Amino acid sequence: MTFDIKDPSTWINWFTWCVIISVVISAFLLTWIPVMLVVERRAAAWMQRRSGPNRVGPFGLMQPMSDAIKMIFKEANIPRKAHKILFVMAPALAVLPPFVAMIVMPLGGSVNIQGTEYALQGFNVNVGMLFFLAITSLHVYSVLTAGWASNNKFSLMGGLRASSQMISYEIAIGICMVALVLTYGTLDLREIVKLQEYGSALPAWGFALQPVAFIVLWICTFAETNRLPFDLPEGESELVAGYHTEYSGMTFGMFMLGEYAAMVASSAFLATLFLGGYNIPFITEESLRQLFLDQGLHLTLASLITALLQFGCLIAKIFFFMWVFVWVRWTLPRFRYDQLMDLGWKMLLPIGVANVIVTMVVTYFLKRGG
Amino acid sequence: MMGSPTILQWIIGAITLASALLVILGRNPIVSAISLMATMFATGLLYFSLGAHFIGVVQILIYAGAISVLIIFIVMLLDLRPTRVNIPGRAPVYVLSLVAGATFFVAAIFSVLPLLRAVGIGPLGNGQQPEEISMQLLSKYMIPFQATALLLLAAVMGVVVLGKKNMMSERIAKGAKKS
Repeated sequence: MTFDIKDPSTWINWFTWCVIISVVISAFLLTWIPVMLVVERRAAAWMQRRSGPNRVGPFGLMQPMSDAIKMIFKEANIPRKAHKILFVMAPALAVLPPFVAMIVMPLGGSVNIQGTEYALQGFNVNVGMLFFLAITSLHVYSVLTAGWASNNKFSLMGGLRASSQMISYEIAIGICMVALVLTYGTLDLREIVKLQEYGSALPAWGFALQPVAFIVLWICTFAETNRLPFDLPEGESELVAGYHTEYSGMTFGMFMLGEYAAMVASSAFLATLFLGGYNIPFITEESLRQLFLDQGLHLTLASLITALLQFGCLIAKIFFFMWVFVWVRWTLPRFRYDQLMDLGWKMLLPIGVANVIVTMVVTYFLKRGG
Repeated sequence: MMGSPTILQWIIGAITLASALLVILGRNPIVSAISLMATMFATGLLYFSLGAHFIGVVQILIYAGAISVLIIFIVMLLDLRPTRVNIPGRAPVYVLSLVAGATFFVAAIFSVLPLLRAVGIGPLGNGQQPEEISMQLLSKYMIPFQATALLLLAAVMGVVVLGKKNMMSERIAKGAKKS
């Protein structure tokens, strides 16, 4: 897909490419959501020793379908004194950022079609890591506008809590990013995944190189996606339902959709930075492709199978992080607000800064020695 | 490198202008703040369409992602209601301010146009890579870079002093009573 911005005849190519990418990325993210709804509700029931939803379909697997139908046919009420435009805009803003952010995520190796390598990635930006961070930081606007536009005290409190919480934890995330950039020496997500590729026994994955940044970033991810134990913006015991108190029907459904999509995107991000992205453990892309070529397969087919296997590996890694999201939600109680701020500013931020200093010194001496 | 804006850039430019106009013409402070965010975001997209990915991302990350959130946060805390601002004065004041504004606008356009003609609009070169920018920042512009950090530190200290002013004076008063 060659695209030259000055040549109008390539615009249609470019447009088609954009449509294909959007459809594939959206389909990928949207498929996760019903799966995770079932997993979450069944896992919650399992941890709390109750049955959970088990009536719709085998093992309650069709529950998300009935939930979706219910939400679509319920009335989406708009309070009379709400700011109508912003009230309707907020759910859309909740869904949009994770979908846009997933565009830069490398989803698999490259497929060789007639001599050209096509990477399984929507759009390769050389500052992919920052792009992801920038787009996901826009998620706070949905919570803020929802909280304000509802014209409800509880909603406004939820929105204010969300904004200060997200900004506080974004600083810790930024500090972790500095350490990561020092380690990898690049902001390109595809390059980072390539650097974590290895064929020997010792893992070259990010969590071994940057264990502190891994833990800090993981904790911050919970805060950024408003998941328990950081879900104070919607703390039921204090704020009814926080920023989405006034939302009903599908407008509420959009917030749920956005939350799960953000969880998937963040999990993919963590997997890419620390668990080797789409890399399959103990085997490199080259050797795997060679394995299939030795079976007498065509180069295109061999590279396609390799890329799909890597994609499956990424899905497994995302699922691991998603499971921990669910696991933590039903294990830990919610923080008090001052505890949350203390954790962000007095624990994670100093640890992150110390990590950056250590990384700087180590990187300096390693570069000097080698 | 000469070039004319593409359709995409025209669309993004129109969005930027429209949201910027909404910032100053909107009566609701929250709507103004949110359209300010939209303006920042669209500016970031403009950088993207020019191939300056790093600058575009930083624009979105800092201005749309952080600073606008703070502005909205403050507006929400102050609980500002929609108002119609009444500028005191009569017709001559309005005319004068209009003339002054228009003069500034025209002067700004004329000062930018020669540069635009010389450089043109088109994808930027390698100078926009993060490595290049950091090299420049840490060698050629080292002193301004450090001075900015100092300035920000001073600003932070000023905020702390202002915020703690009452508390400190109270403490001093208490200490005076005891002794």
